[in-house]
Amino acid sequence: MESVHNSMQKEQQQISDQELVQAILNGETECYAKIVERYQQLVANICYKLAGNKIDVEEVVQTVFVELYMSLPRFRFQSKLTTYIYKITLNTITKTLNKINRYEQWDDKLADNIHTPSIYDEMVKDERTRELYAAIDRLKYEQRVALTLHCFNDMSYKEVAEVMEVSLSKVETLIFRAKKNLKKILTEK
Amino acid sequence: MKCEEFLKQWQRDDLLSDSMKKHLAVCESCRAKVKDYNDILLNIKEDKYPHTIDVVDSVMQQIGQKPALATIYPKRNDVKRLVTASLSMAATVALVLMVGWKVDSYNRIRMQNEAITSMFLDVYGYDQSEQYESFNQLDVIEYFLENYEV
Repeated sequence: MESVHNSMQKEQQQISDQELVQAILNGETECYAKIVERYQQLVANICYKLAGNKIDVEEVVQTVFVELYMSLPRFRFQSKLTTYIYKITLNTITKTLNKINRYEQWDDKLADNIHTPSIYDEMVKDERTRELYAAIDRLKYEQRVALTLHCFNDMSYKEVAEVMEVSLSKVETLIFRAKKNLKKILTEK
Repeated sequence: MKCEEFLKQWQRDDLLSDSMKKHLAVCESCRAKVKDYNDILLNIKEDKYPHTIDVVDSVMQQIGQKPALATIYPKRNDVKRLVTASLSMAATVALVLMVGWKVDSYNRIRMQNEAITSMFLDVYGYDQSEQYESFNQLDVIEYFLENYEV
């Protein structure tokens, strides 16, 4: 029987996520490279949008994929693999931000070191874009996450609820409040 | 419509009413705020991480150092079999214990009944038809205390 890894060599063939995951679980670890290749940019985009000014995007992306690999056996394909990846990404970002916050609380100097000019700062040179990001940054974390996920890739409320592990009505409330607060912040300017 | 009134309504509603649109046409300050808001939402939607990321090699290297998934998590079928076997074993043990307890309590009740019956016959056995109506538990206890060592 031809292994999935061998079939990957055929350029024309498009292998589904499920087939890849099954192959990885059967011991063909090399297939995981295909998953990373397929979704690394997507994960980088969410990290950049949610906390690009505070975290090292590349490092977080690596952590996400190592975590994903370790939790693959628990994935039952009851939702899309992308939704599962978003969920792990969000957890990893939250953990990383919590760590940074702890450092900030205990040692301001250390926090200053963490906030050395990041790639993000170099990239967002445009003053206006900086202002827009600053307005989003002023939203509460949960509101910012819900709004970002909803706008990102036109994710439905249901998907956002699944990724954030909260109820649908909570997502509705979070997005409603995020929009309202964003308008309030802009009005105060 | 004044700016204050416009901003109040704008914060409350998602859609712009006709009067709000009219105000926007003449007020540059409010127009700028609405534009900023729309730009933020558009920015979230369209702004992407500007670098091409490639973490494949480093991730593969990291997972290469981890134990194989199959050794950490047994196959799903094995797990299912293990759970089913444990549950049936627990159910069997519970059933045996329950049956044992029932048989024991049944025996105890039967023996008590037999003891009471024999005492009843000892006391009233000589003429049950006459004494039956006056039979009560006190009589049995009294007789028991008199004739049996406690």
